[in-house]
Amino acid sequence: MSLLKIKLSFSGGIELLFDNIKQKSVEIPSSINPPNSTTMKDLISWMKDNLLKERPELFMSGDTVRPGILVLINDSDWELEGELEYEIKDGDDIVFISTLHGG
Amino acid sequence: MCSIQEETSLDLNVKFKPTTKNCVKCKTAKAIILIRHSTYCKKCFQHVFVGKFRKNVEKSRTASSYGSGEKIMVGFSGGPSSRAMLQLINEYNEAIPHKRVYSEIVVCHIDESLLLNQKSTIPLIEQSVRKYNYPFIGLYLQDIYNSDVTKSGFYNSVIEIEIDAKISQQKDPTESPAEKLSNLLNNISNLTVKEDFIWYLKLCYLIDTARKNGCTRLFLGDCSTRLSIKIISLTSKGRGFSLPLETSGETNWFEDVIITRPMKDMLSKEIGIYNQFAGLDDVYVQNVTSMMHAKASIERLTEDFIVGLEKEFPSTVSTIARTGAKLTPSDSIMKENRCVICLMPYQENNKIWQNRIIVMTIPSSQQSNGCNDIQLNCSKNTTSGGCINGCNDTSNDESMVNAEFADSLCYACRVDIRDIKITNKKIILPPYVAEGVEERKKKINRKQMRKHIEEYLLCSEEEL
Ligand SMILES: [Zn+2]
Ligand SMILES: [Zn+2]
Repeated sequence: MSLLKIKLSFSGGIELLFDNIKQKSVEIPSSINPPNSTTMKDLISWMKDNLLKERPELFMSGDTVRPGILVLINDSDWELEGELEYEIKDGDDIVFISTLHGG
Repeated sequence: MCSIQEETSLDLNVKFKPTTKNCVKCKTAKAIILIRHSTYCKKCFQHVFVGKFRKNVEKSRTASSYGSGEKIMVGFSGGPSSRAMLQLINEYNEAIPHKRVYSEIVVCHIDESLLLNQKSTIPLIEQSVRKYNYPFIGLYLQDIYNSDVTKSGFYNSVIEIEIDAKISQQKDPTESPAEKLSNLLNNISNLTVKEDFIWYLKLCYLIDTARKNGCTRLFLGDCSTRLSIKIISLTSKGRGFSLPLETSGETNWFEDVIITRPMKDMLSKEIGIYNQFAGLDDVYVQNVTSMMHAKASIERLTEDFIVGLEKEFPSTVSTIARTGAKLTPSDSIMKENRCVICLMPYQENNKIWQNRIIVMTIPSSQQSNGCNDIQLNCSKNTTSGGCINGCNDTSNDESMVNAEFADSLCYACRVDIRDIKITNKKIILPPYVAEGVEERKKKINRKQMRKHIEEYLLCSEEEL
């Protein structure tokens, strides 16, 4: 199975849930749910199983990220990229920004 | 063609799915951001974002009598909104270097790390604002207990809340400011009340610092998402009377320090994206409800509710914020009816009204005098004999001073005070509170004296 190399970034406090690491390069299977290609939905649940250190309820709500967490895929709002259905590509740069508690 | 088929087979979601992927403004560039129902390219997004800021600061400029050359203070929490605000203020002020709008910009951060037993946030914050070369003031929240954080600049008598909800005014006890603040906040188990206290202590400290540094304006970074959360939570906490002052784009309630909220029209989503594009790294500062479940406090619950609603109905925040903006301060707001804790206005005779509808007396204090459960015992300094409020230590006078204190609180603060658990630790309110009580009393005395001698006076009221 081939792997996709992607860059994940965290800010706005969400990094605390990921071992306080702001940036991380990871390799994920190109098809987490064969035969389909890996989507954002797969990535989020993969992150939950492999990266999330604590309190999944602060990161996730159902099978998506919690409201108030922004996701940018290659500097583009994921709401314009198909959100959960977006198919991850090798080299993607994905940013998670928490806007909760902003002030 | 298969691509066309794909587009038509989109399932009909409740949520808006943009049909065009081009920017609604320039119509040519590929859209990369969805704000409410509009799609923007990067350039247009930034243009619109900066425009909202400028519109607000320019409005506040013409509204004030100061014009140019004003010295301002930026309240800087380090969070995304204040981070973006500082950058925008800087760009705005440096646009025409020889014609600066603000003569001086002071950045002020209040460190509340004590409450979380964490290390100070000041070094990190100072580092993140260093590149602007603005004077930086880093304060510790506990230092609000210093006698110079008062109107007079030196006021060392404080109000103590004692066992059986007795409150005494006395000479500043020897505990350190950090101990005093911890004692107060650790004895409030209700997080809503705790957040309330922290916020108003911070606000009072900011106003005081701005005033003493000659700043005529204080910029606060509340964005529209934050403000709509505030509008709902203030209402549910019984702070509706002061709500217009606490959420408006500008208020002169603090007279010599005008509060401006230039970020009031930006969503937290817009701010997060702007910071990401501008490479502005915010400092994540934890507060007492960080990482807590949604029901931890009214504020947290409201945040959860509004942010969740906004996800499905992207006009939620703007609708609440616009409705809130229509609220204007009540005509019955009077400068002299200022709560001594939160400094917000209270309704005239709010106590009478409150006593009528709320059971205020707790069993342990019923025998004291029935009318309320807060007692103020006044004894500034044992050696000077009697206190500044002119009362002796007899229990009768105690309840009188007690009533005076209760009278100088707004409805919400009076409710908050009741949540302070009395332990064997000394629970003390900062000196500015005691100073406020004294000031209020003096004003009332002057009024009463005037009444007595009115008929002998020849001059008009203004001359007195
Ligand atoms: Zn455009
Ligand atoms: Zn109050």
